Amino acid sequence: MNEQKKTRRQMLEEFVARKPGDPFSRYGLAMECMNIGDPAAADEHFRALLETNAEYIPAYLMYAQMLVRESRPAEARTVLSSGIAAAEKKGDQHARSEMETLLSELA
Amino acid sequence: MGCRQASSEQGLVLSAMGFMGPERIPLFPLNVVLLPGAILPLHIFEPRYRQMVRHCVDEKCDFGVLLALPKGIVRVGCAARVTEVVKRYNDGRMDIITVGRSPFRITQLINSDAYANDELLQGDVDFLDDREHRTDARTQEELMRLYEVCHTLIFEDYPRNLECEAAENLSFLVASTLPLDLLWKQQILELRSEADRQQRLVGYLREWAPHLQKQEKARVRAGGSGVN
Repeated sequence: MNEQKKTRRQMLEEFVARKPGDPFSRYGLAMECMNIGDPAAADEHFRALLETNAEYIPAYLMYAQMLVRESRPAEARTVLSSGIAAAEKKGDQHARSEMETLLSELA
Repeated sequence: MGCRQASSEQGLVLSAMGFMGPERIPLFPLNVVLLPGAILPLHIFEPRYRQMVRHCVDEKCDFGVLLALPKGIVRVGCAARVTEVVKRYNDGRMDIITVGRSPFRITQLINSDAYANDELLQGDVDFLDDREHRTDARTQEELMRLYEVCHTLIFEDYPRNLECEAAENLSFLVASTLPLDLLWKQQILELRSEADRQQRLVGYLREWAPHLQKQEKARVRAGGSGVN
């Protein structure tokens, strides 16, 4: 039987299964799910990521943008507010500014 | 032309070189950063480099690869050994495969004026050894995880050469495999401790990894291939 080449999503799922707390694998998987058109799975992975790694700043903006595209602006605003606070705590002015811009557009 | 002979006991040779002083090698400025252990295929067409490669193949010696920047060449490079001449053309051009060996620092450039007139650049160089070989297990593990994820995202495949790689070569493997910025690779080449190199790479990849899929998404969107 021929072994089929694994998809990038499957490979990332393996990394997450091996190291569930690793933010890079989880973020990669969330982004991959989003990019291939599976927002439900992406939503799940973004949530899991931010629950265990609230300081992983890049995830907030990406998650919020996806929620906006999914017509869920209220949830996007909540994510952005948390992200702005996390970015401020970490001193990441660039990320904070990006999220504030999106938040103001949603207001 | 000075030559550095092949040795399987590179560490011993490098230690001995500390007492021998600088050595003269031919230099090949390029728009790449060669790292120890990395494979670099080259198409050789300029007469000065055809002659250099023929000499290095015949004498089994190295030439130096250096990053050429608009403001000049950098001072730390990596010795390259020709492992295979893939093709020789009738007009003297060659396709070769080289592998990176020891880093070196130029102590003096020779005939740099003549280099502008299509002559071969040479340099007196000191080969560089690491000042320590200790690594931090946590940093190393984080680097491996970051490398796995970045490699998978970029190449859509697992990094195949990770498990068998010695810990002290991990940074060079990672930096030579991923398409990092050239100046970052140059920084890695210039650090003389594997622990420092791994720490620097972890810092870089932490910043870099989250942007990989954003860039890809932008490319997909620009190409209009239907991903929302």
